[in-house]
Amino acid sequence: MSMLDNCLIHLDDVYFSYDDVPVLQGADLCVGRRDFVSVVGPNGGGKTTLLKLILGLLTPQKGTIRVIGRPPEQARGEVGYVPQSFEYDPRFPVRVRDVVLMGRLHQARPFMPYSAEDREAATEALEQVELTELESRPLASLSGGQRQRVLVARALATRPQIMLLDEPTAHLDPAAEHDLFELLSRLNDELTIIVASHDISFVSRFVNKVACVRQTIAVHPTDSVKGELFADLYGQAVDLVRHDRQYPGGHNHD
Amino acid sequence: MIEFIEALAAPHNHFMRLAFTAALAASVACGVMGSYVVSRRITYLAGGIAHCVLGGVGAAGYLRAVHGLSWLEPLHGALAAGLAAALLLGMVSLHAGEREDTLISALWVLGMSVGVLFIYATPGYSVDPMSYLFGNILMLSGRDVWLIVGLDALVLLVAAAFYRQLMAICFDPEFARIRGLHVNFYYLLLLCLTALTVVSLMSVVGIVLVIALLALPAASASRFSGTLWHMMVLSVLLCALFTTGGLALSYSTNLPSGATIVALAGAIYLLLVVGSQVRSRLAG
Repeated sequence: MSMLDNCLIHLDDVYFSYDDVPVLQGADLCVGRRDFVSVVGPNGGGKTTLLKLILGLLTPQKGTIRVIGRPPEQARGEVGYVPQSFEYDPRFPVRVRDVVLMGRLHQARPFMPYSAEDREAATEALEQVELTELESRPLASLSGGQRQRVLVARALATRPQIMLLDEPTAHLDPAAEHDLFELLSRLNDELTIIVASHDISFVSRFVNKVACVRQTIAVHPTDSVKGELFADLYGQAVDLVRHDRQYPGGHNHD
Repeated sequence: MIEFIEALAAPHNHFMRLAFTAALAASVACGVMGSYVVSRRITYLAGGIAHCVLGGVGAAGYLRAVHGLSWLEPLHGALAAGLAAALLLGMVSLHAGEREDTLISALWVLGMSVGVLFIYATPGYSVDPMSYLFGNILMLSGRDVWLIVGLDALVLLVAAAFYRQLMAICFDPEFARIRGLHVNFYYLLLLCLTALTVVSLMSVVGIVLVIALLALPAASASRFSGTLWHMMVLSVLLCALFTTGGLALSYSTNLPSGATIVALAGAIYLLLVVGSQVRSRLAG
């Protein structure tokens, strides 16, 4: 059991289905401290479901999930979440700083303003994503890449140990995508990061593990020879991810 | 316009001053609640609540006439139906998923039909349903105006107490839930406040006008607002402009006041939409 103690996030034989549609069937996962994991897999294959299970927004029908040794709902205070960008209204009348302060909502009391600590956390988060000079701008006036960084700052303002990002680059151009992952790489010095992504070849330059989700979860290291081609879950050739060797905490396909 | 101001000042025109005061007071609740309703994109749900209120009005009138419940006024029925509809439609929207719009439509027409049937079945209760749809702002009592002022106080109190919480559940309910907010509670609170706004203003300006005053000033204001707070202030001002302007227009043209106010608000909103489209075409 000593290996499990090293798991910051641990899924053990997890089953989950929407009504009659099975999404995860016997999924196992161990994410260690300061891992940078990319979750890949076919659309509708369970990437978002996996993130929502870790957040405790969904409950598995079978199996256990532990986040920092606790049930997911009780660990939410330690988890920063960046949702898919199209799930909110970009025209909503709100300033950048107010969005970031939403990361401190757990501290909000009726009639009371945000505390000095809350404001400091927001300022710090804005510095980390390099948006300090835009803090008074309406969110609607920002570019897609900047908006995505605002949502990262909002998650950072909670001062989490773990960051979960759901398809953060889905609507970004390649330059903004690259900038975002550079930022996540820097944050990875202190934080454990899980990113759901459909773009496996790009992200594997930054992450140290790739978790392939298709009903079960297979974890692969990315410290392999670059450019080498391997068959992946889609049955197509995809580079930069090794599927051919044992890895502690992971397992092989086939 | 000058004759409208003269009419306001005339000593015998007490009803005109009451209507003017009611229009200004109604603008506060409508502007604040409208900003939430528009930014949360639930104007359709607010419309559903408003029409269910008619069912309560009809039922109260029927019970009063047939079962001799003389203490029961239409307002009581409206209040009960409005809050019940807010909770019911809120639960539907939280749990129905993709069928949400169909279920809301069903409750919308059901509430309204029930109201019309009750009014029809009530002996000696010859109320014109039209008066509930468009109201009659020129037939208000002082009590009606105090009711709106009371509503304003409640709406402002809740909006001030839970400004950030309500903003968060409008902006991104899922994130708010993860941050430990009782999202469903705040959502139902929002809908119940919307129901109270609808009920207090229904006797004044009618159901159709309430929906218009909730949606149109806030939708117009959102085009010029950087924050929800700005949107609320601007909505209140626009709402006051639409209602008093419509009232003055209806006085000088001798047209029905409720419909004139709605037509003015709708026309200005559509002009803003078309205007900004044209501007962005020209700029692009």
